[in-house]
Amino acid sequence: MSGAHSTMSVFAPNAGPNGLPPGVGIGLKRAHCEALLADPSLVDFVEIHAENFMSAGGPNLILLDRIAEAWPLSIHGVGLSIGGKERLDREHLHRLRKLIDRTSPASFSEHLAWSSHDGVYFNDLLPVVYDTPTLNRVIVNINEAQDFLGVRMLLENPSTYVAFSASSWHEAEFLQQIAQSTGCGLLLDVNNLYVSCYNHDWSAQDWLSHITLDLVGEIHVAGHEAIQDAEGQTLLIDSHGDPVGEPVFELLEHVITRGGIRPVLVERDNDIPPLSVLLQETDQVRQIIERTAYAAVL
Amino acid sequence: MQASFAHALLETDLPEVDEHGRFNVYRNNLRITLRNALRTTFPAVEKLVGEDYFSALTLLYVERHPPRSPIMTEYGHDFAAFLSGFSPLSDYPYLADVARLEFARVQAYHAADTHNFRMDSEASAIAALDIRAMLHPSVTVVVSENPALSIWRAQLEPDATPLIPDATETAIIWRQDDLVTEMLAHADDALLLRHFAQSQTFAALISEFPDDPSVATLIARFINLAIAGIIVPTHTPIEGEMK
Repeated sequence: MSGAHSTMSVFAPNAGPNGLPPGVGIGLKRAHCEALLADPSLVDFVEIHAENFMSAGGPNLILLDRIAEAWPLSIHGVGLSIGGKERLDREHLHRLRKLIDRTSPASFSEHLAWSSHDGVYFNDLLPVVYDTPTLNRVIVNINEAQDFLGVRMLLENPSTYVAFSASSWHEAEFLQQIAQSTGCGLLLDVNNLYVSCYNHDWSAQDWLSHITLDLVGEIHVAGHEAIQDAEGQTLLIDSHGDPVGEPVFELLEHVITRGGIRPVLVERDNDIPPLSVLLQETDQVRQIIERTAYAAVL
Repeated sequence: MQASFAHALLETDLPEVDEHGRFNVYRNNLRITLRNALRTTFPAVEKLVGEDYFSALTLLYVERHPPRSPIMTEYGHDFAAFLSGFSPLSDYPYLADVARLEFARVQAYHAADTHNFRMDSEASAIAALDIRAMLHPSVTVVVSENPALSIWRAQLEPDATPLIPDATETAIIWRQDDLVTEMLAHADDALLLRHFAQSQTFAALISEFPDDPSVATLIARFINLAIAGIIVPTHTPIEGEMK
């Protein structure tokens, strides 16, 4: 358990550039809050969805303060619509700013996706076209968000089920260019990478060769499920409700072997199992981190 | 591109561009996550109409009233009005009131904090009568021509008191000591709730009818509502008040 902390020297120099410790975290679910708060040492950091803690007052904010006190905190936004056609929602930026000011999080992250259009919020991370006008729009939005929020953000790669014929950029090059232009870091979701590679017949190795791994400030692992599309072909869905698959653990090991140890988050948003089940997954991640660390020392 | 994508997400018919049925994943995901959000906010309505009917209802609601904010606890603002206007359910007018009540409970949980009146002595209670006061930010009053509160309780609390079929009920929903609470309004509360929604002093209320014999009752009710944290001072505490 302590291996991850005793081998600091092999961590990439910029591991956790926004301050998350290079260990294992968990996406915090309400059902597990009290058990984890009773023994915060079970995980090295926690991640919350920003939109779940935007209350004006009341017990939700008291809980938030306890969480921020107990761990390095990762605030993960799902509603900013960074890839949207429209300007960022100022009201939402204000709410994020309030949350960040209140908790001084170790990391703030959002998604390469859109979720709002013409005043409607779709409660999903919808795919963007990888073309130059979109790239420029995303860069403007991230610059605006980082300026307004006063933090460097991490941008997460999406899982997608459709690709647009209008896309002219490789997804990884698109992300790399955004990071270079805005100074933001990347949140590498290896489950999303695995899902998108499977669905679009991409190579994960090739994808990874297009980004500078030093930009990665956090890694997500999560589960996916397989369904059949209308043509009977298997489509992987980022369900966030399944155990982390073996290929995703393998991809994690590959990434940290190549790029160095990073803060790794076990993410589960639906069909929440007992905490003990999730802690088995965090243990698996720890074993991978320790294995990688020893290999690096040898 | 995003405009047509957004449009197709809410359309009932599948777009022709969806060659492999993959766009459908987004359409389904939208409906499932929003149904789940509504299910979390409206558990008693779901019990009353049944799980399948509720699912079908939410499909219609999602298409007609998609969310306008990324904060899912605010989704369902129009659900009660949608239920009132949904003609197949016109024989069940209490459903909309139960929905109002459930939505109010969620809003009460997230509402702003404020200071309460100190009501620990006769002197502090008398002092409170001259202090400008308002309803706690968590307060919603649900006026129902049906026994909506009793119906709601019967769905979620197995030991709830049996309801009186033709009763009308006015429920007050608010947050007290960090717990969302609800109670039946007393007959004299309506006047007080209306008055303090305008940020007034109690003295201003009774000055309108100083000789009315009901003033004593109103004072008693005011003190009750202030102790419960339903009526609170409008400004930061000074002597006579506390958090």
